[in-house]
Amino acid sequence: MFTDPSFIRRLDSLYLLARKVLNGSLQADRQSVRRGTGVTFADYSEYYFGADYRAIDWRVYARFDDLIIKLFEVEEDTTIHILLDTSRSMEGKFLYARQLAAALGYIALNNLDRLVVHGLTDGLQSILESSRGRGAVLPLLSNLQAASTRSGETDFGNACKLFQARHRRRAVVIVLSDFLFPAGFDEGLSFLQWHKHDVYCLQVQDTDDLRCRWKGDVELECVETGQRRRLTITAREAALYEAAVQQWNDQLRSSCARRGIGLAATTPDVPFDQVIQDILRRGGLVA
Amino acid sequence: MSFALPLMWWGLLALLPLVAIYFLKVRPTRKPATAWFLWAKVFEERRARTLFERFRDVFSLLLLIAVFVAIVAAAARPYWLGDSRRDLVLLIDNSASMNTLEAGVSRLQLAKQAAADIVQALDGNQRCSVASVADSVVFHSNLTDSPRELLDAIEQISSTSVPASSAALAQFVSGATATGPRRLVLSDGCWGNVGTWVEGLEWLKIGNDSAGNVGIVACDMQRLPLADSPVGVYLQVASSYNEPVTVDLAVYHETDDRLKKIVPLEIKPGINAAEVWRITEADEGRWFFRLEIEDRLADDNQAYAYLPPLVPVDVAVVGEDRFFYDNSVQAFATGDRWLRLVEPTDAAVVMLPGNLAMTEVSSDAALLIFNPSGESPYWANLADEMIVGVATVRDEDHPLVRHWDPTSLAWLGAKRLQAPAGAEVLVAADDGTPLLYRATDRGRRVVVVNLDPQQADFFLSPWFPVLVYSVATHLSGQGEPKPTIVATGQDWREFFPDESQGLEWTTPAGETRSLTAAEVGRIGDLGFHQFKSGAQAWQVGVSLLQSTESLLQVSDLKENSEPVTRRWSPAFWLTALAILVLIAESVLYHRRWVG
Repeated sequence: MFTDPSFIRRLDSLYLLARKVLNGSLQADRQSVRRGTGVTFADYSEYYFGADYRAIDWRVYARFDDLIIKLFEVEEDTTIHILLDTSRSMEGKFLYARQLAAALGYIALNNLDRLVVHGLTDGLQSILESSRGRGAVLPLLSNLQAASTRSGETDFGNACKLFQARHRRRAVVIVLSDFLFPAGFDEGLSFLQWHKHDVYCLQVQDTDDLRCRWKGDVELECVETGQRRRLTITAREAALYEAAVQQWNDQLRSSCARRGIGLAATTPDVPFDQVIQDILRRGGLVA
Repeated sequence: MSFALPLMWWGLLALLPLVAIYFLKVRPTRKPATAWFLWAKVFEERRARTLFERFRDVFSLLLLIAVFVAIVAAAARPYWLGDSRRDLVLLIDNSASMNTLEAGVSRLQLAKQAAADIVQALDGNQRCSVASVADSVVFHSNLTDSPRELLDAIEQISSTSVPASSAALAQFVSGATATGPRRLVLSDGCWGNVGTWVEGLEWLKIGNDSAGNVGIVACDMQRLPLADSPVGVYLQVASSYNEPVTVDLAVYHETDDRLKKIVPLEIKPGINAAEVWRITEADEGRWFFRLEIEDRLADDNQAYAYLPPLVPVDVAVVGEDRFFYDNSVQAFATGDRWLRLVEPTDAAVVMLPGNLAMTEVSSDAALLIFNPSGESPYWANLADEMIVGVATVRDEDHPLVRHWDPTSLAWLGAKRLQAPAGAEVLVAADDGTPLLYRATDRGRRVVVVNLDPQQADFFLSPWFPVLVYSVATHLSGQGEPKPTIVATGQDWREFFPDESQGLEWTTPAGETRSLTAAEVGRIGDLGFHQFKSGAQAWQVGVSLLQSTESLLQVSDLKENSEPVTRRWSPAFWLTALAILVLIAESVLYHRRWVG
């Protein structure tokens, strides 16, 4: 279904919206904090040895007798990494998460950014190798369609270390997950930020994650490890679980806010293109 | 505790599939948990209850087994070892006194409720039958253990206005054996000396208060010949009040708007002395005697009497010296005209001396013969006159001698003779010579008076016209007037003993039935009953007239019934236990499936 024309048309609409919102050329549409030799003025700086004297503002020198150089934004070729959670906990919302990943990847490839898509469990699995240009759209969609969840307990921290070991260059990292990591998410997010990556979180949780709709005697089975346990769920137990989920999500929100990491949370009930539209209209994933 | 149907215990075999099904049923459904580590908190909270939860399914199964065992045990019809399981006959008294109100509810209703309670307590574990008893025992069901059938039978029992008959009970218990069914009478005890004569019966007392009732316990109304007031009334009342009460007795004729007399009565506790008074207007028809009081039993507050029309007896006198004979008839031919002097050919009764031929007398006329002489089929061996020392009355209650005193006569002119075979001698001399006798020859009824009225100056005796009147009314068939008032519960043959052909009977409700002479027909309904035999028709007023019923003597009854069964059978308790356990199990079930 990812290669269906109708689906691609929905992705195309999102790309057009992205162009309109971002209002830039195909290259270097994305703002960078790095200063360099671009055409877009960024700031002034005192001349220093080795600076490009072509950047000296002679008008300022004529008026104040100081050597001041103009700084321009670097227009660079950015790599975007999408870390797509493929653990068993994503089973119920994996299609939705892949749709979101497809939309983000489609926009990135059309912006001529470099795109890498990883599967995230206790390690990293490659879904799309580093690719660039519109020609990589079809492999992206095909690979996403072929992707499936894997067994094993999600270890976000370990996956981030693996990621850093493979990709040392600074990049934009979008984590697309339910963030229900047994070992927590703080270590991973800290690690990525420490290595200067622009980290964004897109949290996908469905109603079964947020609410406990079971009542009575059940045998709970962990979807990732296969552990089982019998439990009688009353309203009290359901409330306890829901409070724990709420607390977990609050921790994620506060952690992202503290670190300046952009976070958006959604559920499969909301159409994926509407989520992307909201993100674009807000100017991207903002903290 | 023992069991009436121990075979039902085989039903426990059904536990095996039940247990198997239960274990299959209680396996919980598996649910995938995406955030197992978040459930850890919940697991921590529930650790304290783990033990109970681990064995909860077993608890639940044990409870279900307990329910099943209780149901099987109840189906096996358990009973307490102390319970008597003899067959039981419930005799519910539905006599008139059971219509008495106890706090607004009749005693009959209380008895029926008590019987229903007993049937429900039996719970189908014991055979029982239901009968009503008043003037007779009527079964409403056979021996059965079906509570529904027994309850329906109890419901069928309706109230009556007849007094309770101890004879009916005595007949019922005659032939009872110690091993036969128990006989439990539910009654208020208004049976007279019931506590002393009945054996083989158990009594359950219904009602606890006998005070507060007055009733008419005896009443009669008769025409009085040659009296100023031609109708006499005899009335007796009884009271169960503890204090004397004053009640007006209202006398009506035919309808309530024809009040003839009001008699204020001061009624003392117990049975009062009879009241006798006369009524000047002797109108024939229906008469009502009503105690104007609202008390606990209404049936005995009114008596019904029927005063028949007066038909004079046609009497003829034959002979030359008729003066005194005529006068004796004329004495009763004025006023209400009890007798009427007619020609011999039209007479029903002919009075004649003993030596006259009867050529002029109608062949079906009865004869009153004085001073027998000559040959006659009505005497034999006629001899000389004799001197009567002492005259002996052989039947003082006979209508021929009831109203006068034969021993006060000198019986002068009496002759030695023999009465014909089959004659009924009412007065005889000390040597046995008949002085007054009744005989029948070829259908003709004859009364022979063996004295010479002229010699004995019997014409001048006040007994002479009385004798003529008694003989005339007796021979004409009016000597024993039909009763004007009878008590309920009587057989019609008791007050119409001469009706050997049977009769047609119409009740106050208008129901008509034909009765043969051998057929018992007890009168139960209060009011006026009509009887018809051939061309003759009579009415009688039927009233309760029973002091044992009116006095509501409930305190005289000594209860002697042993408990039929304990109030709640083991099956009841087992069923209740099963329900309670089932509720407990349903709570566990609810917890398992709904949380």
